[in-house]
Amino acid sequence: MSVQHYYPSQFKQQASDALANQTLRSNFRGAMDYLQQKRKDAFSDPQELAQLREHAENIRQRCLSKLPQLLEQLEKNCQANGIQVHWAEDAKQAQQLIAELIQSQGATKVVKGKSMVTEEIELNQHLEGLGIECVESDMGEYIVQLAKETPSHIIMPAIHKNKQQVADLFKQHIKDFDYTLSVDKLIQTGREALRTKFKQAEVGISGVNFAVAETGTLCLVENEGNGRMTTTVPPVHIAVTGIEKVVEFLSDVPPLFSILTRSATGQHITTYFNMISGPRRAPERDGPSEVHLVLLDNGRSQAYADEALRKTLQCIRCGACMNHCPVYTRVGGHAYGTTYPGPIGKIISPHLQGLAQTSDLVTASSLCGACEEVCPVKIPIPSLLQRLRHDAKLPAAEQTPSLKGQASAASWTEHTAWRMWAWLSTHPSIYNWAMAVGVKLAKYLPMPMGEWTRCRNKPELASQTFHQTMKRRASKSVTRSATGGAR
Amino acid sequence: MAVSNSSAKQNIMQRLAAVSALAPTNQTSANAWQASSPEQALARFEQSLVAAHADVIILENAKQLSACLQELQQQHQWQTALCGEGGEWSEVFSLALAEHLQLNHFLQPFEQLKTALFESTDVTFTGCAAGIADTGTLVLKPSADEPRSLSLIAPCHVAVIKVSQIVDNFSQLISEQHWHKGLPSNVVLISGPSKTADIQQTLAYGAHGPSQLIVIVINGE
Ligand code: SF4
Repeated sequence: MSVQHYYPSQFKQQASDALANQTLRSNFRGAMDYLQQKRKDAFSDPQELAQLREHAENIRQRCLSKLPQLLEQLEKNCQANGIQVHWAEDAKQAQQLIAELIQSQGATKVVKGKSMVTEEIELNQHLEGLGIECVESDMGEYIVQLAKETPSHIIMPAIHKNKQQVADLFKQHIKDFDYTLSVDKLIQTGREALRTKFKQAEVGISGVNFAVAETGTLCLVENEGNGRMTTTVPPVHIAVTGIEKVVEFLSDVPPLFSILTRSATGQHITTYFNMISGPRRAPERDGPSEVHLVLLDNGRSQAYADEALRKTLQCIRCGACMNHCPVYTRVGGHAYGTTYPGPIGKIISPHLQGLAQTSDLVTASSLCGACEEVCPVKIPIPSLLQRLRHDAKLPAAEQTPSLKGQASAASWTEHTAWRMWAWLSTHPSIYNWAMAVGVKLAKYLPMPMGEWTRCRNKPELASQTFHQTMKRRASKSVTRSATGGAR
Repeated sequence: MAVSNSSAKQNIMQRLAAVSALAPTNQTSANAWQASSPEQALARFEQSLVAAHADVIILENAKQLSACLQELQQQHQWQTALCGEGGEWSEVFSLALAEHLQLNHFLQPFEQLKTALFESTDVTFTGCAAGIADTGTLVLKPSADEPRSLSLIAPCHVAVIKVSQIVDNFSQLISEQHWHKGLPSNVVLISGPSKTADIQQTLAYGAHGPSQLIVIVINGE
């Protein structure tokens, strides 16, 4: 199976393709309107929302401030609970580690519950290369996997598809599928197909929403029950998470959980909240006999090193920022070419993949501020975007660590133009002369003016400079006041 | 096990430790929902569950449970059922239902029951460890008496809860029951039947777990 690939470095082309695709646009428009409304209804009291956001932000900042200690504590308590803890510095290490864990079981059949981190490390492709089948069990991800695509949204992976498209996919891939457009029947079809997979699976892989240091507990948020299936039925469970997901206390969980589900889908609670604190203990009769936790860095420690960028790690992956982003709602998730699309994707991907790959993403924003306004943990996304724009073009400021791909989008012409402009602006007489000449020559400006006029008209320049106009006006009013001046 | 990655941990920790991050100084709290009376708590519990597509039956006392279970069996024509071997209500389940359907008990390890659970169990029965009024939530602490899969695999799950087990909100439950001192291998919060809106935002029930959740509340002794 080869998955259709999109690349962040080709954002512009991918975005234009997406904009030209009417079905895609109407699928996203419908979904985003729905999710925006759901969130709005879930937070009917603005005061409560403000209080809850501040509290959630504080919790996340406190936990991040103690991250090294909390990770140690998490490891210790997980181990005491019988959970085996592993560490991976990057995607490659994580792939290898997980593959070895699976192979050491002699396993070839794996089910996976929604986990964006394993998308980030492209685990499916890696396992497939080793002859290990890894089936996505979340309905949306299952659909996306059948289509040989990747998720286009972190909460609703198949949001870019409508039911016709899903029915066509099932017809193509599922034997004896009785063609229908009834969503209920489509879901039942998926349910049956996946039940077989759950029964056969030798290993279940999941993500983690919160890892509680205090008790060594892994929390999973979901509606479908595939997460519970994945972590209950197969004999081995492997949980994979980014190092930033740790929280200090169990009491930190309820407020974060509440604001997560309400921000994500407008639900006051999800159907299941699954808290795993270890494998099957004697004399229990079910549950996996082994539980593993893989803690992945993959660029997160780079964001951590800088006080401003560290706020990126506060994210609880609710998806609200993408649901409210005027860019995301139009171009959809795939155009970004990254695992995490939308505003959060723009600020986290530079750390995961480097600025050289992602410098177009940080500019793909009007900085309207909608993302920051809805973010449940108050991440200042627009100002982080501005910071990353700077880092993409210029070397790191003093005392600030250099990012992966720092200044990789620097351009000699741009740099020189700004230098000249700075010089000109600090030399008034030459500036005035240059401007006067400039307006005279303006009508000879080439048309089109590259990127600028691709979707804009050429600006009509005034026939005089601002200084000339003001001077003339001043002299007129002098004459007028000399002659009595009133109109 | 072959995988050794202590150097990965060391490297990550080194990168993190090079930073001194200050904790925010302002203390905040979030006010979770609180009921003004037990009646209000029960009402919210019921409404939230019903809104999430669960069926809620409120009984005056535990004596009515048998008849209620038999009635449900009649109504849904369940043929095969599974319940725990221990658990607060397992005796009532047995006495009420053994004559009316094929009732199995979860005596063996899961592996031996797997096929039956997936393929030929109409309904499963459990008690609850607690309830949360705010969100209409059942709290289950699966154990050898009532294993995890009892609330997961069959198409219908019937859960029995006493009104005295219902607390106002999740935070309160954690602090009152001292959860920070340690948890069982699995605790699960259930707030309705399994569902998904993954196809065109259309809600469908019974995605992977039970498509039907029936909650029986015993409102008295
Ligand atoms: S950045 Fe904020 S709004 Fe966006 S996914 Fe993360 S928590 Fe949600």
